[in-house]
Amino acid sequence: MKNTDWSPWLIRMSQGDKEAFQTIYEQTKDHTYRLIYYLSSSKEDVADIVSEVYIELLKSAHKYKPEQPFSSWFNGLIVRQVRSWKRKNWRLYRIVEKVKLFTDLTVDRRAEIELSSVSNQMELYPILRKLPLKAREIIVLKYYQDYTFEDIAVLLDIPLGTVKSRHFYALKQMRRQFELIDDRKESENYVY
Amino acid sequence: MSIEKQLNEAFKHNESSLQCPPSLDSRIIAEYDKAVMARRRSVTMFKKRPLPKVVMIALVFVLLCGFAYGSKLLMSDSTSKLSYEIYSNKAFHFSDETIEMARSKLSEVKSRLELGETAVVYLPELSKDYPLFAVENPTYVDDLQQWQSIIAEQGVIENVPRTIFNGLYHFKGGTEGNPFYASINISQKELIEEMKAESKNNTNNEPVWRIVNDAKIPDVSLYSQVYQAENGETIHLSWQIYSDWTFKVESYLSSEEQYEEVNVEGKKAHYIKNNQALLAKDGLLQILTWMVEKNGDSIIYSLESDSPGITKERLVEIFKSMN
Repeated sequence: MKNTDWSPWLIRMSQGDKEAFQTIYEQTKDHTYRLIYYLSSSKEDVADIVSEVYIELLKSAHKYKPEQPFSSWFNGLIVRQVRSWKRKNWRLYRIVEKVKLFTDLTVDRRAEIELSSVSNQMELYPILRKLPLKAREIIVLKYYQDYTFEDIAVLLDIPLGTVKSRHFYALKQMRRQFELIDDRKESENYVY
Repeated sequence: MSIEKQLNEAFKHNESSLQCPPSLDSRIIAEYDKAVMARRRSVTMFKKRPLPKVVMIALVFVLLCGFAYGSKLLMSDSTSKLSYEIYSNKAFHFSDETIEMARSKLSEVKSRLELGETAVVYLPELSKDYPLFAVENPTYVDDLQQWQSIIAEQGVIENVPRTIFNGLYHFKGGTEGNPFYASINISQKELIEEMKAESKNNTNNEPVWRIVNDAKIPDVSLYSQVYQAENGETIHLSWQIYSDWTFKVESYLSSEEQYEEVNVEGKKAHYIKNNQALLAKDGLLQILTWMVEKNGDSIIYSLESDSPGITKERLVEIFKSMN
């Protein structure tokens, strides 16, 4: 994400200026997509959450203060959308129903196929996904976004000590997972 | 190599290969357009809301994650805009005692509501993780012409019949929503925490509840008309209208509920019998549902009844008479 002054764009976007929205979207979409991909529990939800993020951006643009870095503010918005994603999947109990909004199923399926071909190349994602969301947030912000513990504490609005303990826990879990994979690879190489 | 370094490298390595698929662009732009339009509409229409609030009766939306786990697909049906699937899931089986307790709390809260009010009731006995259930005290419009013009003003072109089944059942009233299930759309996390704390201090087993405002579900229009026979039996004719967007609807039945596909002269419908319906009069609810594509909308029609004298065969006959 480029270090731009986003205020004028956000104002224009919230006034209904489509061109401004497209500019913001083009500049941020890959970052948004990756961050959500890493944070979400299910890759099938990624496209839906990306869409939620941009609708939320439209609603919350007036809350952005130019003195704060846009990337941190926007990352905070993304993290909150990922957290609230499941809450928004409302369902009906009667019978129970959940209604999921798609603009175009074909488009979604295509996106899913593209996504799964990428995820097959990655060892990281399945391991990351095994972590609880709170631990995953720390890992992604620290190692993908290169945030300090202090930055993360501010962004997530939690004490520094909590960030560190979640980080410790997350690394321990991931280390164990990586070791399991290594063991499996070694055993596959044995000739009996 | 340390795990920290491995993580750094893995994220960097993936950066170039993991990009937002171009196929998402048109969807996101369309959703932005829609949100902007909706915002403009809500500003211009604010002052001329056509009607007093017509509210649905007691609908129960729960927010449950992981429903799909352990679910068995019973049927799948679709139109160009709507995909509809019914699953059964053992997770939704409750003892009669639990259901009765929940029903009595919902009924008590309902009795305390003013006309048109909606409340959520905290019922952890039904779901620990997502224990909020909605109940409403609906406003019915009993004049057929007035009701027809109300829904017409909302863009609904469905014709509301004066009678159904050859004049046996007469129109008694129409309301937004559905009396037996459905609709709140609120952020629940904070509310659940608050009500949980209140419930802990509640030693006399009083229901814990809150009135909620503006909790209608976006993008789906729900209407229900009630018809009554001279012997007091009632049938509800309800519509779920899906416009503009493509939806996927998943319904989950408990393993105790009866499901059957019905084919009448080449037309398919789905019959469900539920003996543990929370908002039906005596807990029994029968539903016959079918899907229609009309004027660019996808519509789920349902005939629903909590009258014990109504049979599946009667619902099927009514379905035949309407198609």
